[in-house]
Amino acid sequence: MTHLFSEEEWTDYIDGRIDDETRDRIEAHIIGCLSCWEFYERMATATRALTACGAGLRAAFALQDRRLNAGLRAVFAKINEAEGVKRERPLRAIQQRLDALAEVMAPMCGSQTAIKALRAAAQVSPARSLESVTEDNWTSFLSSLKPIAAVMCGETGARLVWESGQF
Amino acid sequence: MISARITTKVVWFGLALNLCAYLAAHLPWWAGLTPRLWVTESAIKTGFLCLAYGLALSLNLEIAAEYRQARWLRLAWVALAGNAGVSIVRMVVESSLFNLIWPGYTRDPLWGLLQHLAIVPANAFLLFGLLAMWWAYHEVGLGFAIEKRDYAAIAGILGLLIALMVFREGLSEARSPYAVSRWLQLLGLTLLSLSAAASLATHRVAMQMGGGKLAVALRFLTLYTLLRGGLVLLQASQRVTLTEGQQTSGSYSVFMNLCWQAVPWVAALAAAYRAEMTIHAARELEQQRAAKAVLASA
Repeated sequence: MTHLFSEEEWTDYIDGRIDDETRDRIEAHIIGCLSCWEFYERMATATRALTACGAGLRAAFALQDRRLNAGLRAVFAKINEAEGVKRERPLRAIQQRLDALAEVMAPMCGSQTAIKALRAAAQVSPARSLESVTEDNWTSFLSSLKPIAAVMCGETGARLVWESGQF
Repeated sequence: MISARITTKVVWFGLALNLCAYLAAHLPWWAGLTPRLWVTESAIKTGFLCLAYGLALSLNLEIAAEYRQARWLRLAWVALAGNAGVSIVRMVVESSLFNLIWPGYTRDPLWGLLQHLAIVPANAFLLFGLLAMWWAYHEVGLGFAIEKRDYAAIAGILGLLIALMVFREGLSEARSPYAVSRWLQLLGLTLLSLSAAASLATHRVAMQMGGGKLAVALRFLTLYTLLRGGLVLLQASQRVTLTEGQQTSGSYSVFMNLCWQAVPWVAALAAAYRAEMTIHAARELEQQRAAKAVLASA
């Protein structure tokens, strides 16, 4: 529900980055339009929640922390899923998950090992290849990766890999 | 966790402290300023080396506990702990501090026998540990493989072993009245040579990993094995080519002593770098769980 205004204008309005003229037009409109008022309320609440969540994460971790980045990526992936924006997203989300797993393993057992481990896990899982890993066979793939990670990274490392793969 | 306290920095510091303490006790005598401080030097040597192997032992046992599911790796790290444990016994029986209560102890043939009674099981543990480790990484099926140049290097090591066997008159126990002592030394050298060959295989695995803390740990294990092998070889060849006076001369003796004192610290460093990997994983896991908790509560 955006009526006369684009999604970008709504976002800019909520973020307080809009020009005066458009702001006046939006405010004149939402006074008389119940559905737009409710839409505005929902968007503003979601923005406040995200801001609070971001502040919590920033307080808990250093800004350069990779985990913070991965956490925020997961938040945005969930928001997008909830909005029903599907198209090519599942494939990209899987690629992001694989990249995140490789990123988790690399400091422990090396980047080459991480890539080899992902490929080996995919081969013994129902996916049969890394390119065929999907949302549906992700859990089986992750289960195949765990014992390999246990050998290459130890059991604590394997737990880290397992939990990093759980979104 | 012991590994949270015994970090790589602590081990490096221990190594530096050991070498500085030795030089501080030895150099004044070398410069002619003081009489030889035998007792101080022996105490430094025995104390620090036992400490280094003690650190390696405790770290290796903790690492072994990390592999409840991976049997070969658990055995490998237990064997490396065995190597460190037996090496502590070796450091004690080798100690020239016993000269205080048993004059001439380190010149007695029994000293050599006791020394090799400890060296043989220590080397056997080391060889088994390296082989088990290589097998575990090979078995996981990630394509780690030995290359042709590794086979060439292994052939070179075995060639040196054969040369040592042929010229065994240069070995320290060659003139021991105990036959068992002579055989134990040959067995110990064979095991050490095989360990050096096996360490080349684990080094190749490290090379193929593309970085990471595990690769650093494997490289230190290789260094530990090759350094020991290299020093034994150097000593044996020097015994053949140098006179006794030259062997005990200042620079050569200082160099060999420093190298031998660095050896156990290299073993401790290998364990510390591997243990650091677990610490890193535990910290990341903790951060990840905290992040998920924050997200869930938002």
